[in-house]
Amino acid sequence: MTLFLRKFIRKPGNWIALTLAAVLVVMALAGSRLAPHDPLGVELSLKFKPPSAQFWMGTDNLGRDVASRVIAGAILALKSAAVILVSASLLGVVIGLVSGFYGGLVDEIFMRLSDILIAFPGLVLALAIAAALGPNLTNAMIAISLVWWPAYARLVRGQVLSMKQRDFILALRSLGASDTRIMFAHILPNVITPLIVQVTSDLGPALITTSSLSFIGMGAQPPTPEWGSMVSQGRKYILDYWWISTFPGAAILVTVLVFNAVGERLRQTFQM
Amino acid sequence: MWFLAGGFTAFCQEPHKNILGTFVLRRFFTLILVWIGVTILVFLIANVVPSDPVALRLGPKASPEAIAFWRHAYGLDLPLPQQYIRYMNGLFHGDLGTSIWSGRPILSDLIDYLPATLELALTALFLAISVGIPLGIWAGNNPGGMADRGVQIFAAFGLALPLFWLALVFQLFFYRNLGWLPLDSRIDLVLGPPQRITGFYLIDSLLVGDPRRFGDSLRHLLMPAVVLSLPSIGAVARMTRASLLDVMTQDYVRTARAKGVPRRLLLWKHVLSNALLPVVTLLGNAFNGLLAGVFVVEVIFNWPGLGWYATRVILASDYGSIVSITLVIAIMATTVNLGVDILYHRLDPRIQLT
Repeated sequence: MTLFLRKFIRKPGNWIALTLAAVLVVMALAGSRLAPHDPLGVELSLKFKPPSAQFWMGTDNLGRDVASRVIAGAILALKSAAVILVSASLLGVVIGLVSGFYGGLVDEIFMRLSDILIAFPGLVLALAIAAALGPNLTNAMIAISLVWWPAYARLVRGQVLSMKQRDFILALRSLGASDTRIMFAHILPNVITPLIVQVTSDLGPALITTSSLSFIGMGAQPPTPEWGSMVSQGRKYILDYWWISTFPGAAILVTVLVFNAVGERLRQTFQM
Repeated sequence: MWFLAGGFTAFCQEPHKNILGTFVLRRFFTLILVWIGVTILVFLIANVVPSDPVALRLGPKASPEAIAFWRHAYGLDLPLPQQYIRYMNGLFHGDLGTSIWSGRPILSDLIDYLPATLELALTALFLAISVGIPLGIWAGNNPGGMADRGVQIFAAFGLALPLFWLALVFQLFFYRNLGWLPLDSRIDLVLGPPQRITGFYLIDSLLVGDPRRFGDSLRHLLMPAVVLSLPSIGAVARMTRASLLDVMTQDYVRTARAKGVPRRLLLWKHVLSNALLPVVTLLGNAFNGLLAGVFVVEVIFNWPGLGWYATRVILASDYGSIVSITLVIAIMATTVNLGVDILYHRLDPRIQLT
């Protein structure tokens, strides 16, 4: 891991990508302190104001400052993507470890289930789950996590299968280590690096999926300043007041670009 | 069920002459299991719901008796396994039930909406192949050059663009600012759709020999298809480029170069035939991506396809229709993936079919 980090920081391009990502995270964390206006403050007399010095990104149909809402949306976007990836990778790690370690029927059931989930577009199934659970951001996050784990489970399972044959596992077994201990204390640390790389490159796609659900109306609900939901709100006015939808969407684009770049560069360093 | 699949797999591993035939048969068998799995999964999801579609449809003033009557009429008062068996029984008889949202048989809804989605998704797939591959070749053939940089940046943007936003920006630009293309829908309302033969407006208008409707539906198709295909174009171009560069470093290419094979001939005859193989695999994934993209693109372009239909039935909690739509999408995605695997084998017989 240290060797890998040393290799990673040697390239200046990697530094730039990482710094940009750090700037985005800091901006998201600072959030409300950076926002010039109240992201939820309705002021009807100020509605549909074009971008100006006072309102950098204009105001929306309720006179709310679009810039403040975009800034407030950053933490929401990063948080929901992170929650999805953490829960999906936890699911994936446990299922992958158990499947790979025990094999047999358990393996068969989980792998066939993952076949079904991988067989068709995740967004479609996530949409169905979110619809069944009821439209809000938490349910959207649950829905996406439930369709997101198979890739991680397969990655972990593959690594476990090759790791299981190693001599040190046999040695541990003869020393009387329990299955749980072997799986979590000895195999897991050896499979975690490729998993981290994979999860990092999935941050962008997770963000796009969440905001797509919100856009369709199955995620965050107004007046939550979620980027996808903001684009959806501004859609009615797009032909006359372009800024309401354009800026939140551009925020998604920039964030995903930066995190995709970080993921891509991690991948290259690790040669995955 | 899974044991059955295992037994069947063992059977198929017996020495057979027709490897491809056995492979297709085996994969088709697994496909059916996957489809059944999808119906169970979606059926379960659709039925853990807190909201009652009948109550939603009848409105807040409906009497409990009326709700009970219609719940009984739709079979919603039966136990879950019984509902599922009822559903599957209908499925095998070509009856998918009645859509609570439209009040029509779900099958006729699907027949109406599916061609629109296919027309859009297949056009986008065509664009992804016919634009993505040449772009990738251009970039990979001049590594480090301007073309290469340009294609890489384009691919990075393609993968980072939220489609729903791109669609709006396109509308803003090509409809409002330039006025080149129509805002939404499949065809001009005054003109009206062509006589229905296949449901594909382009094909139908050609079959009837109606150039005006053909031109108009093509103009309507252009913007949504381009928006939908952009991420796939980027992905295909990137894959083509990487694969081309990879093949270029192989020994046989060096040998060919050493014996004086002209660069152009080397690229088109020796390198590309191998370099395009991974791209073929990617196409299956790309099609999955297109099917997901259809959901947002259709909503924005008011394109009466499956995605448009799905968002409406979802908002109406019409779960029978949701299960059917998900099944149709699963069938399309898995069939295309099987097709890709077969194509892959045809292109490279060295590949072991498993």
